[in-house]
Amino acid sequence: MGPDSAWFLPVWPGGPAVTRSVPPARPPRAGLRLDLAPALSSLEPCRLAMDELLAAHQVDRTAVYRCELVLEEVFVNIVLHATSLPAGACIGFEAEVRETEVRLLFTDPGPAFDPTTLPEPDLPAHLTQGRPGGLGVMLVRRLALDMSYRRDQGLNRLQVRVARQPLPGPAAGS
Amino acid sequence: MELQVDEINQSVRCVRLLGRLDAVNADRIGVAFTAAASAPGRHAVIDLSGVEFVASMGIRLLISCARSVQWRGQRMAMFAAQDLVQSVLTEAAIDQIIPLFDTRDAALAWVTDGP
Repeated sequence: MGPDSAWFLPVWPGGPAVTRSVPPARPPRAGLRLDLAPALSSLEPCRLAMDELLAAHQVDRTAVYRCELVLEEVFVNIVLHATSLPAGACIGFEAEVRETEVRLLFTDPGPAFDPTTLPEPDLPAHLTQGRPGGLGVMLVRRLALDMSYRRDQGLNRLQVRVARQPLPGPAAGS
Repeated sequence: MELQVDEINQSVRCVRLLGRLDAVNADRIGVAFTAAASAPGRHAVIDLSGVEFVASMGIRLLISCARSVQWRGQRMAMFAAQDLVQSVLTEAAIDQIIPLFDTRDAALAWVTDGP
């Protein structure tokens, strides 16, 4: 995403109302980039900004749901480990709408953590079994096109690509 | 996120969830939802028709609630999930441990008569 295709939206829980430094242009911009405080309260304004972008590009509801699920699972996972983030650190979020996919990129300065290497969880067969760990990553894996990770200049960089059309098979909305 | 309770009869209670069952809301309504669904001496059917979105934290809440109901010797079933919500529940195989039905009548029959 080039610098002229992004717009920037600082979001802080309890802070001032969300404002855009650059208003959406016509035709709609291809992407957005947000710097988010590492708190669950950042999630909703971030989702609404993403949904606005996706709506401007007429992204279908299945892909919107999948993007929301990816945002939720990845962001919550980072926030749950936020105690290991440096003081004042932000979580970076970028969304870019392409012809056939939506690309979501998460960056954080926490300790290196590659969720793509996590094993598939053992889903419980009975209620008496433990609650499944790793469920969020599993859902992202199954509902996204792919997920890639790299450590770059002290940042975790996790990119998730979501198809704009439903994937074949038993996945959501198909 | 809202929750509504409907006493269907003396042995079954319907709990209707409305809104997004995401991490924030699962945390917000967790205690109230579990208390509503796991009333002593009552089975529970969970109406998901008003749930627009579910993610892993919401799924965890459903599992822990169903476990609480089972611990009291009762049964819990879900019904009427929207298509995208249902597909996520299916991907996570939660419908294998908490029965998910299309209609309230089917869920009622299962909790009342047993599997």
